[in-house]
This record gives sequence, C-alpha cells and structure tokens, in this order.
Amino acid sequence: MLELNQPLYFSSISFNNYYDQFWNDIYKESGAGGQFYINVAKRLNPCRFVTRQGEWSLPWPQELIPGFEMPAYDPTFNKSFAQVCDEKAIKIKQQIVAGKRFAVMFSGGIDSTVILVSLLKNLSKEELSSVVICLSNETIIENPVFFNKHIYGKFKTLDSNSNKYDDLIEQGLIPITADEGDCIFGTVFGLTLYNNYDYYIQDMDRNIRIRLRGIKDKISNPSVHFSNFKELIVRHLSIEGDLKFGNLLYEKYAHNIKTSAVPVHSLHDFFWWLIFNVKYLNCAVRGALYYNDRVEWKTAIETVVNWYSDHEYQKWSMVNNNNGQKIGLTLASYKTAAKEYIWQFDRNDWFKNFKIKLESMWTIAHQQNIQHVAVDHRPVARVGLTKNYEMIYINDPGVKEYFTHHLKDYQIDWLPS
Amino acid sequence: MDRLKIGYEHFYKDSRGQRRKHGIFAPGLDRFILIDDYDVWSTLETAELLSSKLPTVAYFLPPTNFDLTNENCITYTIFNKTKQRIGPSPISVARQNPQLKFLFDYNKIAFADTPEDYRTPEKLEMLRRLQEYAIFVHTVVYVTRLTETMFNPYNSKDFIEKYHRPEWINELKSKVDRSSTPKGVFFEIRHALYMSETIEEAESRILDLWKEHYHEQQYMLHGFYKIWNRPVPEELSEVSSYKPETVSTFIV
Repeated sequence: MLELNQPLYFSSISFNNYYDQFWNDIYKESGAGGQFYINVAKRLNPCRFVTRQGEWSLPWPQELIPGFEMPAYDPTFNKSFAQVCDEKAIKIKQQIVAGKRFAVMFSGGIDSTVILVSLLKNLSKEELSSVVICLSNETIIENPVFFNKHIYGKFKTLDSNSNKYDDLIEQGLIPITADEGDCIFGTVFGLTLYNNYDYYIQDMDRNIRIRLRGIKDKISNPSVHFSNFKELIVRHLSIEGDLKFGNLLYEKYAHNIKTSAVPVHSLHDFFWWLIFNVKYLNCAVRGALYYNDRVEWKTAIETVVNWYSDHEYQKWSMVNNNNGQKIGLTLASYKTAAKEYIWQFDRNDWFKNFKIKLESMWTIAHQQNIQHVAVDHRPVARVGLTKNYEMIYINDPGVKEYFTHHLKDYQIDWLPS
Repeated sequence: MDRLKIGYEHFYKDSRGQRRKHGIFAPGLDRFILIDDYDVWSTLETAELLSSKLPTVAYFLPPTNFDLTNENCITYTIFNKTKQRIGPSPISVARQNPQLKFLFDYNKIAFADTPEDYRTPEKLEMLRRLQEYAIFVHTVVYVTRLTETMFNPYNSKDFIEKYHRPEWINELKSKVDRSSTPKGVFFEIRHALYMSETIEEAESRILDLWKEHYHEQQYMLHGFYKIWNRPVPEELSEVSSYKPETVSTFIV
C-alpha cells in the first residue's frame, strides 16, 4: 500500500494507450498546477523529471537516487572527448583483467558506436573476448558498414530482443549502455525546434519575427542568451498552440536554470540543460526499470554501466558548450565530437557527414518479449519507485489516491514576481 | 461497382489531377536529395539502398508552383515539420530503414538554400558526392527491377515465398535465378550498391559479379546493360558467346 507521504526515487506520468484513463481521471480531479504537470507528459511524454541542480518543484515528495548526483562544474576541465572515451575504456579493461565480463548494448547509433570504438582501440584481442555485443537486426540496418567491418565474425553476439538486462546479468554479464549519450550532447527536443524555426515564426508579430530571423544562426552562440529566443521556445513547448502552457513550462525551466550553478547561455544550452539536469535520471535508470523484469531494481540500477554517466563525460559536457563539439546549426552536426572520434578510427566519410541521431529505444521496447510477465506488472504499468526500491504499479493499492492527492494540491510556484 | 471505387488515387494524383512527384528527404540535411516521377517503389528502394550512408524518408510530394528537380531539390525543405497527417515530424519518424510517407497538397515545400551545416567546400563536396551516388543507385535500381522481371523467368523462389504456405514448400528447393549465388545475382547487385563507398566501387563489384556469374544467364547480363542503355563492358564481351540479337526476348 503506497502511503500518501511516502517519498519516491522515480515517477512516471506516461500516456501509453494502456493507462491513459488513469491519468485522465486524475486530471479531472487536479487543480491548475496538477493539470499543468500532467500536460507536461502530453508534450514531453513521458514526464519523469527530477532535478540534480537548482529548483524544480514536484507534486509529490521525490529525491534523487544516490549515485546520480551531478559532479561539480569545473571550468578548468580540459580533457578532449577522445581522451575521456579512451580513459573510460581503460576502466573497463581493468575490470576485465579482474575477471568481469561485459555486454555492450549496441544499437548501431552514434553513442553506442563510440563505446565499441573506445573498446576496440584500447583493449587487446584477448580482453575483447570478454565483451559480448548485444544487438538486433535493427542494429545492422542502422550501421551495416561498421557491423561488417568490426563485429561480424569477431565478437560473440546476443539478440537484444531476447536478452534483456535481467537475462544478461543472470548470464554473468554486466550490461554497458549508451543510454545517456543525449544527456552529454543535448536533446532531440531542441533539434525539432531548430528544424521548425521558420515555420514557428511565420505568424509572429513582425518585429519579433525580424529579431528571431536575425539570430537564427546563433542557436549555439553563447553571446545570444536563450531568453532572446523566448517566443520561439514558448511556441515549441506549447500544446496545440496553447501559449499559456508553453510559457508556464518555459518559466519553470528558466527558474531551474537561474537557481543552478552551471553556466547555461545559448539556445542549445537551454535544451542541453533539460536533459543533463531534470531528465537525466530518466535516461540513467529507464533501462534498469523498463528493460528488466526479474533482477531486483536496486541491483539492476547499480549493476548496469551507464557509459556516459562517468563524471569525466559529465565534466566534459559542462565545459564544451557552444564550441562546435556538440552541435553546429542543425541535426546534421549534432554529436560532432562523437562522430569525429569514430571517424578517426574507421574513416567512414558517409557516417561522419550524414549519420544522425535516431530514436532507438522504442524499437527495443516494442520488441522485448514480455508475454510471461503479468499484464499489470509489464513496463507500461510501472509508474514509480519508492525510496526502498520497490516498484509501484499503476493498479497497486493506494497508487491512484497518491497521485490524485498530490496533483490536486500542486501549486505553480515558479513564476517570476 | 462502388466497392471497386479507387480509394488510393490521391496518393498518385494531386488535387489538380496531375501525377504526383515523389522524393527522398534526408532529415539530417533537412532537404530533399532526389526527386522522381516514374515509380515510387523504385524511389523507396533507392532510399533503402542509401540507408547504409544516411537515414531518409521517401515522400509522395504535394504540387509545387515551380519545377522541383534533382538539380534544385537540395535547397528545398518541408516547411512545417511539427507534425504530418501520417506520422509526426521527420526527425521523430526517421529510421535507418526508410518509410514511405505522404504530404498533402497544403503541405508546403519551401526554399531553404544549401543545408546550414554543409556550406564549407569540404561539406559541399560531400553533398555533391551524395547526390551523385543517389542518382547512380536510383538508375541501377530501375535497371535491376526491370531486368529481373523482364529477363528472369526462373525466379520461382520469390513467388513461392510470397504466395505459398511455408509447410507446402518445406522439403522443396527453389532458386531465384540460374546462378550459383545463394540469393541470386540481383541480390548481389543490390548488396554492391548498399555497401559500396563510391560509384566506381559499385560498378567494379557489379562487373566482377557478372564476370563470375555469366554462365547460363547471359540473357540477363545482356538485358541488364540494354535496359541501362550502356554497351556490355568489354571485359564481359569476352566471356560472352551469346548472340542476343537472335533471341526474341531481347527485342525490347
């Protein structure tokens, strides 16, 4: 029974067709603040935010899971992306020498290709024999050239559709995931704004339109503060043109940024900060919570290696804004540092120039075999984790009352006076 | 006759009754890289073969008040990419394995100039290489599709796999063509297009393929180059003893 005052480590408002009615019912019972927070999930489905830095009020008591705190901002950090990758690989190498075995979750995308390149560069053939590649047909489709040159016939492979984290851990393998790659480089949510820039501004007031048009090529220019793009961001955050909602969400993010101790300047910084801060925990633990049915949640969270959670990557991310390492102007140059690192290894011009970030999580999620899991315990039914690492399922006693109670009283407390 | 009424005509003709063009859109570039108005399925196949190089989406296109061509499409984009009638924005739907999507007549194709991140000489050269390779692949796709249906009467395997129950054919062998390759020469041609880095590499692989697998199927070899409107390469003329002029199937 979930008690009303019970603090959580994780929460998820999600519209996933299965339990839409659950949230729609609570929406009707909620006040303006609660309705706003449920609407966040309608715009940024799922809504699983919690802050690592700065103020970000939540409707219910929730704390950060230990181990996922943000490292201190270090403006003197000067390691290159390649150095950080190589050093991370050496850490894995040391664990292999100590007898550990790993399974790299390889989607064929940019982030997981970086992991493989790091290992191929820094581990001996014998050490690489302790690495299994967990992939699917979609992986080969996404990156056939790399698969053909570097994986096929050289590694033991497992099918990621039938080997979830619990299967791998039970085989004595430690999963390595690239799930937090976007946290280091910025979010796709920002990319969809840059992609619709002209469309968004077409109906705006003439003066605003002229101003925004004049700074279109300055999305990652630190001299143009993100607040100069406010009308554009609000438009992007809105649901069906509801600018009031978009403005509330903008102000909530802006308040979080204002109360944080890390520099956030440009438009791309703004979107990077969302995923590096409030969305970070979701990226870090969603695999352990949604791609696992049997291993205890705490064990799974602590066992899975989030490659990009390493503090060195996070420090790199905090000092490499707006210098072309994360993005130039569009999706095409997103994750430039990562693509450059891969190119230095395999010299594939096509990948370097035209590979883009693709959403791979949903293909894994939709193909995993969960027929043996009771319907009300399947991933879609998971809405939270208590501080005792107990999973909260949507039909559990007290769950609806818990969310209804907290969303009813949630106050909009972040607007500037 | 109502039940036989065509419900898909709008995919092929716009509101003015004009035949629609179709094209390949690259979400990373945010521009079109190829335009065609013959066969949409060949365009989709070209997009599939290019997927080893970049993710794309194939589109049925809305009408435009200008001539959208392979020469200018690299400067044109879809104006509203927030959502589309069939699916969300191209960034969200883009997979390495391309899909075919539809743009309604009111969807605007807008001029956007050269892609923003590709304006240095080095990047412009990559764009040129990409479009050149795309057009090459598209040409060979047409040639391959036409050849395999017009000049290969031996492809029982594809037919059987499409229309026969698996239990009917468990014990029976079938082949795609008369070559000794497991999946046939047209698979090998497609694989060459899929995996080659350059046009030269693809042409060389196709040539090597025919050199090795000309036995028993020189009619296909000749058909392939005839449809391509290219002379049979000299290297292949040497291995060929066939006189296609004497065979009725070559009168195309």
